[in-house]
Amino acid sequence: MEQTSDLLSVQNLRVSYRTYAGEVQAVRGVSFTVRKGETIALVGESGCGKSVTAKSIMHLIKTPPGEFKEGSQILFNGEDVLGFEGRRLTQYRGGDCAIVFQDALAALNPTMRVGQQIVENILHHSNLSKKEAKAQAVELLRMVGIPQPERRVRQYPHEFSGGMRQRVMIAIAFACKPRLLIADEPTTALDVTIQAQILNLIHSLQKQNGSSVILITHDLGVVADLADRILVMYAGQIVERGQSEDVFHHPRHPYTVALLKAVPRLDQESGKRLYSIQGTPPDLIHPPEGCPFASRCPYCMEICTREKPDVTQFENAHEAQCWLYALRETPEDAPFARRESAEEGEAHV
Amino acid sequence: MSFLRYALKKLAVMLLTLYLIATATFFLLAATPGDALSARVERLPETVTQRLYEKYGLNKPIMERYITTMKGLLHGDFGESIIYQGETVQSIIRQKGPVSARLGLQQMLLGVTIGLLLGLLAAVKKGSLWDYLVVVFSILLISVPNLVFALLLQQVFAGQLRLFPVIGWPKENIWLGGWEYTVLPTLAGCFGYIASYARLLKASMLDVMNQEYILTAESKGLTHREVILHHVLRNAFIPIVTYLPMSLAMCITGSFFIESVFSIPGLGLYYVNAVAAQDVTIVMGETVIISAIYIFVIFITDILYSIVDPRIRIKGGKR
Repeated sequence: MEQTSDLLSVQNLRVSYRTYAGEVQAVRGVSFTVRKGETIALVGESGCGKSVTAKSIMHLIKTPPGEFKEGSQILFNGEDVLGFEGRRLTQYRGGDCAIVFQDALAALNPTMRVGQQIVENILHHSNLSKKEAKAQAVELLRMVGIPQPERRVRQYPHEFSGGMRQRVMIAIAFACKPRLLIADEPTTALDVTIQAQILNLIHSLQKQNGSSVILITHDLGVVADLADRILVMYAGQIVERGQSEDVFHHPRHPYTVALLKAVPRLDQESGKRLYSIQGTPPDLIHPPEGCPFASRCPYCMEICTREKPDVTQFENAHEAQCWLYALRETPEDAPFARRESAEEGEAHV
Repeated sequence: MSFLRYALKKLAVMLLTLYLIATATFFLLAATPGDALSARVERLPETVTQRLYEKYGLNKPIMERYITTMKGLLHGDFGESIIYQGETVQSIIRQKGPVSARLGLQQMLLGVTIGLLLGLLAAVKKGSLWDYLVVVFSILLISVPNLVFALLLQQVFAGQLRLFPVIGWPKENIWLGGWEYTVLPTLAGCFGYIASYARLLKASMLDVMNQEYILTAESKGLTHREVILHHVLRNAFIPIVTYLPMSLAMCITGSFFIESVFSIPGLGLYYVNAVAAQDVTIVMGETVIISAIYIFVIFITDILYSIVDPRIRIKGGKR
């Protein structure tokens, strides 16, 4: 049962980039699966390897400078994506799997009419005539909620507003009814008021098409309602994973706790500073030996800087990679036990 | 309405520029020691000298000459050549212009075509042997003056192989005839275009290939070929299009070196000779006319820009 319903399986994905400064290990052993119709959220701050993971799944990493390390495997419906070439690759991209990028203004060709950008996708993956494809492009624009689509198809991307542009990107992505959609920070460049609309649009199209979605974001608040499962990434690794409610309401890893605290809240005391995680993520040219979050972790212990923690399993397939649980016999609520004191410390800052 | 205002504003700036160029040219010429007649004066009797000076007004104070010149400029009268009697700038351009224009156009057509193809090759095969060959080749072509190429071509193809005439230019059928005369000068002058257009297109294509919309195009499953043809090229051509009119203006105004090495009776050679002989009326006239062409070309470039790049549309224009 489990086996048949996995649409995507990423196993021990390791991606490095060669730069003049050295080899940047952008993704360091990421494994996860996506089931049919499921929504996965990949959460983490900038530079943690979320986008590289997304591009790897689309097989969009340029090699060189990028490099898939020995043992990396991505299976789409049992097929080896990293081995795709030629015709199979171009069918897979856009047909089986589509991606929506963060900045639609940069991601749309500025000198090509919006309609044409949708049409070329349809033509590539179907036997429709040009005329039929054009009609379908209009329908797609209507479907993503763009008013007057007949007129809009003839316009250029710069004539659209930010939210409308992202709707166009979504129309392109869903043009060929992909089984997997990767949304790489689809709302980051948008106004807060538009964000929910775009996410709801993705969600409803996903339901219509029965697609799976990988939603990449740095904002945990955004994904809480939409995602079935949450994967928290830090420094190229997944540090915590679990059902959405579990991760959101009972975060285990101190990094997840910190991310949740960094989400602005309406019920927050006015005048209180918004929480921010001190320090910067580690240098991925020379990744630390121990836990990568150790240098920023308020609960850092001596062992954290020396050795990598094992994965600790909690109930309901909830996992975290942290020494706090690996050492204790009763791991329940570890960050919360000390959360009060941590907040007091924060108040002076 | 708004476009009209834009055009008028542009026109005013263009005229002001032209006026400043004319003024600068006039005073620079006036500041050079001696004048067009001083070389001949020694051999002539005093009265003839005086008559000549009066005829051309060279004995008048500088401000008065300036005003006379500027008044003439207003109705396109640049005055008679001091060296070649009876010739005006217009008559000289009519005679020599087509020669320079044909040579320049042939050079540009050949050079730009080859240059763009090489640039495309270098960009598509980036990092390969082809890429390095194109880079080395274009650096070589840009660093060696075309005068050197002209002499080498003459030596090999005209001197040793005797395939083409050493010097000269077709006298009849000025646009199409006597092609054998034009081969070597065309080759000698096209290298600069090859080098600059190859580099320009390569740089521009690589820049476009790094844009995120190319990633989007790839993510739709388009083949590499389709991505290059439909997405990269059009965007990469924006800088090329703005560069082309400038090249065109440059090519029709003639090249001194090529024209003198091959003894081609073109504008470039004539212009430089006129400067050397201090033939002020001709120098003024040519400078102003050539500047006018350049300024006009820049205006055309602005308009072209808005055609290739839909993001740049004149405000208030048709949407």
